[in-house]
Amino acid sequence: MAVAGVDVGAATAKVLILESGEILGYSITLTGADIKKSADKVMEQALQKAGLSKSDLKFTISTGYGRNFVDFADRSMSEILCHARGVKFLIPSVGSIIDIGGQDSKAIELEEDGRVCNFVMNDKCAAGTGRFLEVMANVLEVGSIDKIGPLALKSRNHARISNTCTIFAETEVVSLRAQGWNRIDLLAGIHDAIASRVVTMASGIRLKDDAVFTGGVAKNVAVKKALEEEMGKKLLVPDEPQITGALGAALRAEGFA
Amino acid sequence: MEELLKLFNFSEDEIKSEKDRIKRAFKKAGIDSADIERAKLNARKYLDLELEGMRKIYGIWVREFIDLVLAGEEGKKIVYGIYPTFPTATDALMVMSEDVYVTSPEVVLDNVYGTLFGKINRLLRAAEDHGMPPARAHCSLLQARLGAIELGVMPVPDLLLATGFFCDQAPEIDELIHRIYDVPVVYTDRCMVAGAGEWPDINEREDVYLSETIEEAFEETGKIIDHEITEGDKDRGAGFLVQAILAHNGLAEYKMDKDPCPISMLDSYNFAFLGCATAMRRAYENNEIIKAHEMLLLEMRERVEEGKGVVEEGAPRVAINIPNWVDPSLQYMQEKEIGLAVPISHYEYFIDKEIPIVTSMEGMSYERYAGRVMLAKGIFHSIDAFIDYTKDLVEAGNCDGFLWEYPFSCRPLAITPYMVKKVLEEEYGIPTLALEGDKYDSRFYSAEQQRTRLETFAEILRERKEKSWQ
Amino acid sequence: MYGEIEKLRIFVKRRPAELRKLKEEGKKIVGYLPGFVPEEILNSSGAVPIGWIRGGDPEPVSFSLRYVPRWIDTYCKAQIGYKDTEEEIYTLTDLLIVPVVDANMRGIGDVYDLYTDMDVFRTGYPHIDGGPAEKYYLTELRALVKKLEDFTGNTIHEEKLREEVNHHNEINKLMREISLMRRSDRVPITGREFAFLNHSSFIVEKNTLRENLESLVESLKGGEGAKKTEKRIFLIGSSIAMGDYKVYDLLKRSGAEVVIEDFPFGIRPYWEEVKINGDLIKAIAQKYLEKRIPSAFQRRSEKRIESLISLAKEFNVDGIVYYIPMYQDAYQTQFYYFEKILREELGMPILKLETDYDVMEIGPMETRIETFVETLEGG
Repeated sequence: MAVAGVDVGAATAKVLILESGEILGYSITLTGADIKKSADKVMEQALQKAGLSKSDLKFTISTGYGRNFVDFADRSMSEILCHARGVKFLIPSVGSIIDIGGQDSKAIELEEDGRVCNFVMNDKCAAGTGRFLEVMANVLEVGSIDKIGPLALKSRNHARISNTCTIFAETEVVSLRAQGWNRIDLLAGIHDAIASRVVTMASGIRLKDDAVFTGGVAKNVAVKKALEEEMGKKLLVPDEPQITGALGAALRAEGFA
Repeated sequence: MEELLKLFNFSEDEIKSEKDRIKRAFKKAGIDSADIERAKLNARKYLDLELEGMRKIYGIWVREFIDLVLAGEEGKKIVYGIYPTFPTATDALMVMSEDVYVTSPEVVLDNVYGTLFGKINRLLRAAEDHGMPPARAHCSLLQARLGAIELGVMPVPDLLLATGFFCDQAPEIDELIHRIYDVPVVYTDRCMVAGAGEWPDINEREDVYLSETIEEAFEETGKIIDHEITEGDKDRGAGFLVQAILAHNGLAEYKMDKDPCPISMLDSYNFAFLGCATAMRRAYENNEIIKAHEMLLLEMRERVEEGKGVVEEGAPRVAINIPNWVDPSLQYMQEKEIGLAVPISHYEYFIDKEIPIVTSMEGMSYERYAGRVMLAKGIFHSIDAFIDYTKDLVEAGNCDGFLWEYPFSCRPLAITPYMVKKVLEEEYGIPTLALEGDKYDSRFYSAEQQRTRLETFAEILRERKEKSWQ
Repeated sequence: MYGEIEKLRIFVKRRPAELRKLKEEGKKIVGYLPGFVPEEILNSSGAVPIGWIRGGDPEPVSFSLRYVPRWIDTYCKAQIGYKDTEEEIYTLTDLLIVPVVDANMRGIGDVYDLYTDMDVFRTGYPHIDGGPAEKYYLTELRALVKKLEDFTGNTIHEEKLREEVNHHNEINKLMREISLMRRSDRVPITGREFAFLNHSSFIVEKNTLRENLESLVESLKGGEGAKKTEKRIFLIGSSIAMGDYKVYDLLKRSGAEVVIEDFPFGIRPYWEEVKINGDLIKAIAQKYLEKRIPSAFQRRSEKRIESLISLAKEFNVDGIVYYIPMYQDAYQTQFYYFEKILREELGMPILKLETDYDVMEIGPMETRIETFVETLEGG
């Protein structure tokens, strides 16, 4: 019998369907203002991909920021352990996780057997999250957020963004642009800034090998590179880094099914 | 109003004879019928009113609150100590004369005006407009102190007995109150210079200095309020303090290693605080603290025998510094919703090393004793001591971890969380969650942010427990 | 720009290399937070003292967040964060003396104690006046002497101590002389330059410092560089770090000049000398404790506020800028009643500025300073 994990973050909602340890299907959608609606929608999409219906699901666990608003979940669980579980499944050698989502970021330290032994979170401040990149992509009129990583990699002269606050950094970037800095170098500076912020937060845990990078922002190659340089360590990124929370929740659901 | 008072063991006779007085106090404090309804709800939901002992204790707090609000009308000389306080000093002042009213008012306010009536925020906002602006991490406990005077919820005192043996803001705010309201202040002083490796020995230089300033402070106090503080007063005061310490220590010792935990930290702490955070004539004069202690101990024993607890057996156990107090829903969330047992806290328990210091004057002067009682507490000694003391506490309470919910606006404590976590985890293997919060101001931290971290920490502890049983 | 100041700038730059060399020769480097720790005692131990007085940059502040939450005095956060930089005055220090004037300062000691091999010695500084405070500070200084003797292996002899007292008395006398020249309406030295002089005094080798100060006094007396100062500012705060000059620059841009300042961290307590009379340690204690303008770390505010008002009158200032780090509670709290008293006594405007050494503060700060300066009467 199949199980489902539902991860409702502040930016995106994800559902993953699992059966006997095999991923049958998953879907990602924007959370938007109506959590219940998006949870329903993304569940429908995932079921479709898996070729199943709701009645086929034995147990569903919800996690993430909006976990208590998912009516159809049998249980809700907080996301740190779900992420750890999901990553351990995909990358068994994981020692630590850096997760950068739309509006929060986390660093998680694991024991060898996959249990979480330490964690830090930032959910109060937009700097160090996907939101920071979105704001900057807007300011620099880059267009799609998917473009900013490859563009940033082209820079040979990174701008220095000294501000830790997203709001002030936005003003700083506008001012640097006016001074003649080109967009590529500014983008590189922005990526360095987010990496620096995240690494400072992560200094609360030990960054053990293998260090794994997850969350929507993990798809950004320039953030990955900036983090690796700042940490002095290689990062592994799962093929689909956004679904680790939902995967972990589904794996935990198997324990209840 | 009667219904509320009855929850706290006010007898019919007392309600009848005190009714006007209580009404006056409530009016002065801006407590209306909506607030009273809220207090009843809060009391029923968050306080363990099944415990007769706790009903007594809450009754004492409520009576003290009424006394505080009306102290200015009743012709007494009013002296405010401050928290963290010198209970030795304030207790001696308390017993000195019926004409002198002594307390640490912000503690009383937080417990009654805050926990019960949910009205602390208006005091904080008043303080923010008058010298302690927001977003500067000013101590919210002291904002309550200043705000309450500003709004007339409590009277302007005749004297402030300032400390400063641990935090700087407390005496700084007293100087502010002095400048605005022209209240004389008497200062004691100390510098926290103890270094690594000194604990549990008390730094002689600090000890002597503090005690000499207490001596001078006592003399000055006597002159300003025109009452001499006799050696007899000091003896009696010390006696009451020791009584309070032994009472809450005894209770803490009994309940701290029991599983399931038989009492919520919110209640247990309220009991401890009564004796140690503020002078309370009532509580001592009729042996109220002893009676409450005896009653509570009996009730704890019953619960333990019946296997009854406030959290389920086998729940992950955490030691803490102090609980969430003014917003009881946070403590409730920790224990009832997330299922964390909180059997022991820094402030309510003196570990073995400290007990001889705090309960015996050993032929030293009262003033020397007064200072040492505070320096003996790990948390007030040095960061090294804080860590060592925490480790002992975790062991004594058979805890699985330490929840360091640090108040961001308390500068001496806000320095510590990452360092404390690092040493506790790396040297002693004690899982530690450093959780930023504010004990007295519910506006800055959402329960949701706390919930996620606490749930995760609870799960980590559960998994460790399960693993260790395998 | 006077030649002497330029020279001192170069000496400050060179100092880390000098310290490295001294360390190789077996000398011990003693870092200290200047203002409350008697340099006379440090120097007489044979160790090389170096003032921990850098600040103004955002990077060390952001590094400090690895060790402490942000709710700490910015200047103290910076001292913590320099640990992770290449700033050698920090990384070369063998023994750190931390005056525990408040919890923020104590935090610096705790971090270095835990995270480094540096020896950390905390020394108390009483917050009140009176017999017990004087007695206590004396025991603290004697403990400091003992610590230095144990640390260096040298005994601190009376003659050496006397020599250092005389030397530092001279430095303070020169600094005072320079400062007092600014009472004139033709001010010979800018506020920024004066601040830098003080900063260099905590870094540069002491004989070099003295020579340059003596020479500078003569140059200043000549009066060639003096400028008429129309909008005269009294700059007050808890710390003014070496590198944190933005307020000086912004004031200048707006047509104002700092003619007098009061900062316990950053500006020497130069108003009085150590009066050598009997017990030297006692004399030093007296100077550092009583014979100075009290900081806001002192609990009672009367003497401090009277002194500041008197200084404002003496230097004929037109306005006060109160410039403090975020989360510096002693100075934050005092501002509220200080402002009221100032308005009553002097009818003088006061501008409060706060910093977390963040680059983006400059824009809003400039606007506020400009507006403030426009409202001043002067000239």
